Amino acid sequence: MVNPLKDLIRGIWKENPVLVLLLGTCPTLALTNNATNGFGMGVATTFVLVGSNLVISLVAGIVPGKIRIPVYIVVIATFVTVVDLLMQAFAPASLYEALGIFIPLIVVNCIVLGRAEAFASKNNPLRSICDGIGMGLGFTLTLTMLGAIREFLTSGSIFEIKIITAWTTDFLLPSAAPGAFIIVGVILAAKNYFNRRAAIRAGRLYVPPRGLDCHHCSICHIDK
Amino acid sequence: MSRLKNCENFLVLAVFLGITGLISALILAWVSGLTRGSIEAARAQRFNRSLREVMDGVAFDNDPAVCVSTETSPSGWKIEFFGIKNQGRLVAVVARGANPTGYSGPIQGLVSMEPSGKISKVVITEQTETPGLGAEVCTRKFQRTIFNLGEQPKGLAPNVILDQFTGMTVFNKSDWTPGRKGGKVHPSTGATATRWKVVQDGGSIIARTGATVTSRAVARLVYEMALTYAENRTEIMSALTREK
Repeated sequence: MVNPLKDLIRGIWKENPVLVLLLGTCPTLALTNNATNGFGMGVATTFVLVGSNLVISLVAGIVPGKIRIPVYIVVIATFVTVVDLLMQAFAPASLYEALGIFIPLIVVNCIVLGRAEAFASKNNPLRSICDGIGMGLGFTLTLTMLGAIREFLTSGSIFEIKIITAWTTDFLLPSAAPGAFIIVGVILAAKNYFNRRAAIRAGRLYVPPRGLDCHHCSICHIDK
Repeated sequence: MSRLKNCENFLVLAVFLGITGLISALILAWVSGLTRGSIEAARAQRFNRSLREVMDGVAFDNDPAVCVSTETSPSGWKIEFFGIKNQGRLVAVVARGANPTGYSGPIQGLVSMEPSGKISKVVITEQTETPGLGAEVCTRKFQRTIFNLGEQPKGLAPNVILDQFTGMTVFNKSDWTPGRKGGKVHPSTGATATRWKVVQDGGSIIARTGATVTSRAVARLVYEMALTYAENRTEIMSALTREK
């Protein structure tokens, strides 16, 4: 029995959804203007990920293989809409104001569909929940760190609290789209550098995580 | 079960998809019905809070929700005017309207005006703009620094774009710049109003870099509400002073 704890930790560094799997780059680049938005998006995505992984792992047994993607999308969209309606009706106003804007953006987040297809449809509910939590945690940490870097470089503030009060004019490049690409690129390069150095130190060849190359993916049938 | 999973019969697949859609629709209809009342109550509560925000400390003692007059703006939008009274006397008029042409959806806002039509404050109540770009035009936030972390902010939070409208009036003839192309033509003087447009369109409202569409939509919203009030002022005043 594989330890579900491994699924939890895997999403944080080894198979970080943004930096290793390169999923969900759209909200990563668009919603990390400041650390608060990055954190909010990460938390909302974690919640949706856990829920959708659980639901998909429960229905995956009866869904015909040929139409699984449209069925998963319908299931996930329904789940997110239900969460949105319940939040609007019953959540305290401040919570909905903070997270409500991100929820419609999560339906089209590739992490949700990617993990549903690659993991939740093939594993039991407990492991799927742990995977959802792990991936969501990795996503939140990455987005918060990226948001903090971009916010600090733009206006010297973090989580919307100005640290350097003398910084009055915003440096627009990190907060705009080109700056986001540049900074994410630098972080990706840094992560790859650390992975390679650790592999060299351990005396082995650096290979990407198992199962992430074309022959092990099952979305298209290139191996056939 | 594995027979269903490996099935490649087109009809079976189509029926399965149809059933999935049907179940999803039923679940959504049920939850929607369940939450409709609570969402309406939450919206009314938000309206009351926004009303207090846009009045920014001015005291009033009536229930604005029952003292209302509805007009149609020149562009065909529905604008509601709420009468704010203190001890029976009309102290302000709050206009509520929505601009359907925001960047990613309608932008709804409240504008508080003195009875003469001079704008006091603008508050955006509902919007679905991009967080970090368009939403920055619409939300009012206090700038927190590490030195004032413990302080409780008082009053209405500032917003560079929205605070530009304070003190502007449509009635004031200097708002109308004669001879410029585009914009609404004043019925009696024939002049066109461009002061209410963003700088990129030749006006004098400063827009936010990277959120021109949202800034334009907000400027147009405030302008339409002020213009509707100016054009229907007598009817609105008589309706609001007549009701309780």
